Amino acid sequence: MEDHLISKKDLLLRYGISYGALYRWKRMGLIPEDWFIKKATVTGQETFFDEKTVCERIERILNRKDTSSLEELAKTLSGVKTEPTLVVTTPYGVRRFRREELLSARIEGEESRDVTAELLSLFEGKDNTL
Amino acid sequence: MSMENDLKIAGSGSVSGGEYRHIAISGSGRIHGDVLCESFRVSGSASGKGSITCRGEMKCAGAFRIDGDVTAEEELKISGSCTVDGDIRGGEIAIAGALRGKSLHGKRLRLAGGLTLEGDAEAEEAHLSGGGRIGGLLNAETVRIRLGSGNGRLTVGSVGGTDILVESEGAVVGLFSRLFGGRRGRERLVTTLIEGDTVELCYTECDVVRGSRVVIGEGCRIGRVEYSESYDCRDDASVREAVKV
Repeated sequence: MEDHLISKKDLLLRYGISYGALYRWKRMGLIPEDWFIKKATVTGQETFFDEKTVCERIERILNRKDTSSLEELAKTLSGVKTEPTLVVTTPYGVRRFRREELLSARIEGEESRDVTAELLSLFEGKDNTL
Repeated sequence: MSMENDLKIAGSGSVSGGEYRHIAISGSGRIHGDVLCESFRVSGSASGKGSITCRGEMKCAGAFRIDGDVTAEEELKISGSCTVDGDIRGGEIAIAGALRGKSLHGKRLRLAGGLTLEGDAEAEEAHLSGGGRIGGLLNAETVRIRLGSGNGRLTVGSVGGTDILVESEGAVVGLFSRLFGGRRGRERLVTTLIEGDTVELCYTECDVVRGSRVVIGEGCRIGRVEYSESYDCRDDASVREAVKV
């Protein structure tokens, strides 16, 4: 099941932002590098993002820009404990799972071992205050 | 946590890593371990096993090899050859020689020489003249690439930024060499994707160019141009298709 992705082109069009702005926000850490997902398409390599995550972030940046500087926002975002997410990198892309999205997990091989509790416990531990 | 000791190696020497104030190596020096210092200067040949973090200036004139990351918060100046098996971070980064590394992040990058990076190069301003290879993304607010009349090339994974300008020096030189020396080669920029707000190119080979205002100049071979505001293609350029988006 694919996360809903939005292409970089569509993202820029939707919010009326320029390439320069997007790249600037990436350099400032406002949009993390691993959010840029490269996929091969008919017209060549294109970049996609997880739609929900990136749109939330872009809206936050656009709404914030007038009241506080981008630098301040970058600092806030780097310090903020965002919702813990399990990030799995595969040769085919990056998959992200929030805690509530993990219904069960097991390791299958000669035997099957349920690791759900172990995996969920990894989401605990750090103080998750926003 | 003291940074009171200076470290000087003249001739041949080997020291352990640690915290120092000013480090100066002239001759042949080896450093074992991570280093934290105020300033770092190499003239000669030096190698380090570990990372170097320098609060001030780092200058390398000679041959320097390091198995770790290099950080020079104020300035990193290389005139010689510097091979970093790690990431390079600096404020002002000036290379007149050769720099090799994994990735590079700086405020301002000035290259007049060769740069070989596996990954990305990011800076607020990037001024490059000379050849080399950047495996990943070259990203800066202002990217200015100056191609000369040699036969080298600058190969970049992709280029992204606000203002991207590729210019070719010596239109006059080019004419001169054509009159007297036959056809000399031209340095070229070779990349798969260029994205910017303002993009002006010459002697560039690129699959896809995207921008608001795009000018494709002489010597270009471009697959596809996607522009939103304006597009100009000079006569001596080849563009397979141009689309207004």
